Amino acid sequence: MSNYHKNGDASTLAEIFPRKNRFGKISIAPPPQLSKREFTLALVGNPNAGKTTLFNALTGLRAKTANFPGTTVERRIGRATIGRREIVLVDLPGLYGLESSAPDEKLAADALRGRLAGQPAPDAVLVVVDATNLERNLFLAGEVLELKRPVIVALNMMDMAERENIRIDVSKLRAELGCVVVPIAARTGKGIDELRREIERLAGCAVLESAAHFKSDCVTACATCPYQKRYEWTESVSAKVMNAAAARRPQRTEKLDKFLTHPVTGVAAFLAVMLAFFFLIFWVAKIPMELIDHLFATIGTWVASQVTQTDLQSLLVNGVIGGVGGILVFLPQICILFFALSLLEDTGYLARAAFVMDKIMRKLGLPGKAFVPLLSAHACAIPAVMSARVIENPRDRLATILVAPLMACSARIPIYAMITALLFPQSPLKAALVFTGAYATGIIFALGMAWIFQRTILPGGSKPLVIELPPYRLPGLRTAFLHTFDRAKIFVKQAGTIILLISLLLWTLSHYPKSAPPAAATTMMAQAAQFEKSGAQNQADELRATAGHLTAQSALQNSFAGKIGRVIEPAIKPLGFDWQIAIGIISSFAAREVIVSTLAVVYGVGEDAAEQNRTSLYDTLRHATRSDGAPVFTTATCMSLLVYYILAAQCLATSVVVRRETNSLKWPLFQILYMTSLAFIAAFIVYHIFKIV
Amino acid sequence: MTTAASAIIRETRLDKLPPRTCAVVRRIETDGEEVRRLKSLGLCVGRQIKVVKSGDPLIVKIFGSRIGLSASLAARVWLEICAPNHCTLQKIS
Repeated sequence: MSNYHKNGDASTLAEIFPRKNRFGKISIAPPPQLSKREFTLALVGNPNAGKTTLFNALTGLRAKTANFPGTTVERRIGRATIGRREIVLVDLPGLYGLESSAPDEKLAADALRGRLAGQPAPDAVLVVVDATNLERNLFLAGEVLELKRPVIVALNMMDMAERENIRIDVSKLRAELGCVVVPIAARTGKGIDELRREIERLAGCAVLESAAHFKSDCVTACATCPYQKRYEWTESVSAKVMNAAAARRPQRTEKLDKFLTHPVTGVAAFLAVMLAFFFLIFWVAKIPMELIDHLFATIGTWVASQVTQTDLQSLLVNGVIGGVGGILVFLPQICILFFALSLLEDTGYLARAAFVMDKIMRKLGLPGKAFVPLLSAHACAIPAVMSARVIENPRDRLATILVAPLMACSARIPIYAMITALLFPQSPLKAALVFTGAYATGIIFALGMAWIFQRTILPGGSKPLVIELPPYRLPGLRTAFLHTFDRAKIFVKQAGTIILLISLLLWTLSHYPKSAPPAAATTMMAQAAQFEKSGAQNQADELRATAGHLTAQSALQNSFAGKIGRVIEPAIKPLGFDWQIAIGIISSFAAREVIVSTLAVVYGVGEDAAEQNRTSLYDTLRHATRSDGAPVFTTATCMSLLVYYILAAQCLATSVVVRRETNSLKWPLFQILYMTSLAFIAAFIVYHIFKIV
Repeated sequence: MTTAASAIIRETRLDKLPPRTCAVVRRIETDGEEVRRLKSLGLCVGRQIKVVKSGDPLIVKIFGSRIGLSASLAARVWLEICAPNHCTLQKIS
């Protein structure tokens, strides 16, 4: 079922009439006339009927995605110039019938009936019908026709129907339905021009004619058993207009399904597809990510060379450019994930993946489709949380979103690398074991928490599976591109701005209040000047670098972040951390990988060491001591830090995305709280176990 | 046309229906979101259906579409097996 597109489909009906509202406010505005106001056309249709493809063909890039007010159900709104008229198209979530109680389908039905508060019903409805499955698709068309609104039926996938030798008598269907029926093939663009003409004609009517003379014999008889009667009607209409006997239903889908839904070969195929999928978002995405990183580093260096005032330089380079780069670096993963997911869904495979995985995942209180976000979370939790939209049930989606960030994302790798290097500098095997253990811990905790949530805050378990297995089809690249573009836009616009604000706040915390450079650094600078005079340029540079590291160290220790670190030290002492590690935890609250560079500054190695010279950083950390001379990074502290970073929710970008996807502040806050508590408790236990050992 | 007046009455549950056997839905126990979805997908009283793949979850065929559903849900659907010559689905696939 194409819920993914379904959810990616649609926006606020309040947004549909912005111009009209503005007209209303202007005092000299003309009185509202039918020809002046914007004509709105709602698109409805079964999932997989090609509704999104048609919407894209009519509007292209001029579409906006937004939630229905107060919900997480999306719709898309686009403007299209048809003839000489500008009309507004609303792509409603895909649905099978108007009586559904699923939230997104219910919203679509309510929007169609004009039952949503403050949002009038659309002027007309465009019903997208899959010509290869007329009996089922006419069910919804019949229900829509009974709403007595102007209706155009777009008979989509005519090319597929022809290939299957299904012949449909369009004029007969027109007579049966009592409304305009336009045969089209949205993917190839065939028939779109005629559809545009029909829309223009309808929009130009002084009085909109509804499909009033439509009779399905359902109006009275259907009251008792609506489904049975209506399906009898769709069957009789189909029999009249279609030569089903001659139809050659393709065997391809059945043959493929024998293999792809099989308990053994199906699971093997699933694992292969997911492996390829993971390869794309983990390894292929690395190339553009490194390019973006490099690009922003270059811009940063250039800006630093142009702006010499220290504070402004640091704000621009670390705060603004670093912040923007930190957002855009997620884009390759988001784009690749959504592109691949759109293709997977369009081919029809995603429904099979959900089918194959359903039984296993259900035991954990998660639906089969949860596999996609949970796997993606191993690359990055942000696209993972966004991709949880493939799961249609809100409870299941929430459970998946809550546990996905426990999976080891790629931002954890530098931390795992640092800790394994501290623990086992000489033994790559042991280091590899720790790495594997860290990944396994993430998975075990994520699945365990899903199991616990099912029994506590999210009772009821996963809903029984009901999923349409659509025929396998070649995916549409245009749809995939537009969908990817849409997701990327939402991320940059909605998550990006907040992430930038947070990174600026954290920059302020670690740069203010200002403190004078330490005496040792001042002396070193003076010495360096003397060396320079005597011609010892190398020694002068070395001294200056050391002085710079000392200054940065003292500035950070005296900053708000340093002060907070000292304040919270008693709280984290039971985990084996000191106030310097606390600075690392605070500064990496928005992005966990930051702890590596923060520790480099805190321990006076300089930020560059975290990037270029890891061994010097690790050496310094290994030899770092507390005030009483005991080493800071003992095995117990390292293990505790590792466990803390496996479990803690140190990624505000994820929290911002969770806020958007759950449309609440409660859930991201709960997530931060439960993950941090979990991290605290587990790190405490691990620290004390290793202290004894 | 889907009534099986002349067919031998053989009632069974959807999760017990052998593959490739055509049957007519007689009643569906309880209601709820999933049952409503099943009905709007075409799995409602009076429809002919056929199991394509049994097990849990199983695949059924209704009209031209294939629907995957949990066995727990299938257990709520009661069917009457059609006489061989009464099935229209047989022709389609």
